[in-house]
Amino acid sequence: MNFAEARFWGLLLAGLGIIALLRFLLRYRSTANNGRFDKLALSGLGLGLLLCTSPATFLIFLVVAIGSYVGLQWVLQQAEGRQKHYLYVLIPLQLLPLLYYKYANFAVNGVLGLDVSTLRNLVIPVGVSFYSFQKVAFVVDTLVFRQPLPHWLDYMNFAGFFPQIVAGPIERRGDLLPQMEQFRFRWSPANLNEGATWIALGLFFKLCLANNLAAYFDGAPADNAWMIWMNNLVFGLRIYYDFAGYSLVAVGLGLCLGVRLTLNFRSPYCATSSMEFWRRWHITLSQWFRDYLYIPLGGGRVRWWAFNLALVFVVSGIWHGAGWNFLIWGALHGVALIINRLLGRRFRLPAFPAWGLTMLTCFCAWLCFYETQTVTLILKMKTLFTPAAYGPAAWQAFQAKYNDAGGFVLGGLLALTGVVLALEWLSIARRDTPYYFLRRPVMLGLLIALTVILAPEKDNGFIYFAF
Amino acid sequence: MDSSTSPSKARLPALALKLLLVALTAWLAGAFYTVEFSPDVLGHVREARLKARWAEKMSCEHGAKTVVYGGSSCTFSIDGRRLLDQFQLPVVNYGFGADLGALVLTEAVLDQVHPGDTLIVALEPGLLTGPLDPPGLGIKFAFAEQHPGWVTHPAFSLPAQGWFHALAALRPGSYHTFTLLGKIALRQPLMRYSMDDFNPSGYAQTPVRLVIKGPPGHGPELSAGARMLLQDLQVWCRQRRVRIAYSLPWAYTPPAAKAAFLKSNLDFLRQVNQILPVLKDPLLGADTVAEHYSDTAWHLTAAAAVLRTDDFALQLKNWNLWTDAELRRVQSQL
Repeated sequence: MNFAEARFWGLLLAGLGIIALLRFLLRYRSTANNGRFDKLALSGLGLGLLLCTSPATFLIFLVVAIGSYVGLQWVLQQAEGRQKHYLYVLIPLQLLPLLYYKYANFAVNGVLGLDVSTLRNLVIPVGVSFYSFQKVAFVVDTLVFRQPLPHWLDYMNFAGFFPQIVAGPIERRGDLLPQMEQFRFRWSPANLNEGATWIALGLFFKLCLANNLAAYFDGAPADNAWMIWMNNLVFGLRIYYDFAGYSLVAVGLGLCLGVRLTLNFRSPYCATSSMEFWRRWHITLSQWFRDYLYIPLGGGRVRWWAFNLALVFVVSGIWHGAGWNFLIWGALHGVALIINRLLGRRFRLPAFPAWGLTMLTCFCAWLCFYETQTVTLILKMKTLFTPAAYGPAAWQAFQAKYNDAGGFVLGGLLALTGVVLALEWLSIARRDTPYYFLRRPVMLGLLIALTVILAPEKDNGFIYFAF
Repeated sequence: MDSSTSPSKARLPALALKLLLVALTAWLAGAFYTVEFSPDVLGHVREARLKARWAEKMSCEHGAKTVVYGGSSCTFSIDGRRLLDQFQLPVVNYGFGADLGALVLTEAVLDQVHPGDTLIVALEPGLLTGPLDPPGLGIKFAFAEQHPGWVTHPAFSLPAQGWFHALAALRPGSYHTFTLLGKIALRQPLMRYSMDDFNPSGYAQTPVRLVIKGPPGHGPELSAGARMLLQDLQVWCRQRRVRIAYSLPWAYTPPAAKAAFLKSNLDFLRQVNQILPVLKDPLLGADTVAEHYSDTAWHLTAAAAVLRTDDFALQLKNWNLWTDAELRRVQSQL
């Protein structure tokens, strides 16, 4: 379900066309039979799109979704006092496909040092990290808040609502399920208009910014600090616009169907502290970790809050990928947050230096995210903190690399990104509404024109599909 | 988020439709600019007119002619004027930039080849060992030449580009836009090569001199698409009584890399030789003289182009071809 591909939109339009035709042929009224037809059609559309994306992930999704539903049904039939105990069995079972496909190779070959070649070739099914976490949250919420088991069709639409299935947002029962229970295909110009603004902005982020920046992200030499910083900058911008682009299109698609999804990004690069950054970046994942890991561990009100925070971020790092680099990335952010919390109460920096410090930390940490070879990662990290690596020779090599046509393009892209970030900042500062100025009709017209004119021919896929 | 529940009597999503209209208008404007004004596409179109004129002249004045085509290595190495004056060989240099892709380069040359002619394929090995999907510039050139069928319905049994994909490629893109703006801002020439660099036969030279790195690598095997292309091309030529052969371009090869490059070239030529005859150039594409190259490892200087043109003339006159046994023997001696 790659929103950046024409194939996805073709399939979606074809699917919606078939649904409209069937509704017409069956003279269907949306009130008939409690909207059963619409719900079935949405479910079929979601599963069909997932099947077209990847038959493997389709099957694994069905196993996780149906397994979670049947498992929960069984648990709910048990004595009330014992129900929560079954979570210790059900949750690991829900996470089994995720653990196998994503972590078996790292655990067996990487950590234990065994040589099991079959594990090396495992391909992570698209979206498994997202929908596994969604199902875990669903089971926990149902049992902890003593919610009834929903109708299977509403559950399938909650579990498989296509805009959010492969890369989030990780929607919660309380937010999405009631909307699915009331779901009908309705022609709503207001929803279509609002949805279109998010889709247009999301496609601009992905096709114009992220896909273009991708061409300028390459393996910088480990001894040139300038080039490493440039790579960190390009990667950090690319991953944001890539993932935020996907999430905004998901929000837009949801709105076109009358469903409100959570805004997963709220201009994170405008944050003036690490804490604020994580309230703005991949929000539904942060909330998931907060509610299902951090708070159960005692949260921030216990003496060992720093340990809780560090653990949550290490696990968050590992969620992103099975590798030491992801673990270090998570740990770095954990440390930044602990420092932020310890010093934030005593020292208050003015907004601009605070923003600069936050971005410096964040973009420095991106190195740990993209550099998967641990030895190279350590070398590059050392380089960043070695003054000699910023010497004239390194600067000349840096200049030589970008002193051609590629330099014009990268410069142009960074300038365009700078303008977009400034508008994001204005939206927060003046309106307290993320992306407000970027979603004004005239601005959207300009962004669409830029997307059409500047988008590269090559599609790079979505980075978060790999997680 | 804005409220989506605000009461509205509109029956059509006006804003969404306007945004779609903007996208369509932007694409139309981009496509018009690309096909009519884009300097890189326009450069190739002008080049094509020049070469077509020379081809027509050769056909009219000499009857059967030789057409040699490939990427820019061809443009910078085979001097048609010299071949005519010194060797009485009517030759058309139909080389363009390699960034048009092997398929479009081949489709474009077919219009210039008539029964009784000789067609020399001088495509760079890299074009035949990678995927054959036409790059964006190739698609743009096909449309600018008013031959969209080159990519949507190729004469060869290669997978065609869908119309949607082909039309979607008619956009400037970020590389073109930002380099153009940058060059305008810095008052630099928009293109490295101009029509003044070309002589009427289609051969070109440039005063630009850059440090050359080589050799340009290529994949170990002919791609499936390239195999299909060469086989179909051979059938096409046979049906029209056109003689065909392959000629390996010269590329700068530092002496230390010569043995490895020769080996990979021999592997490549032996594969080509199973489909097309290969002109017997003893250099086997590996030229170790850096001074022979101007701005890339494929672009010969005028002095070196004379050497290459003269060698080519002799191979052509004598129809001197490699046999597989000879290629194998050379390979074993490396």
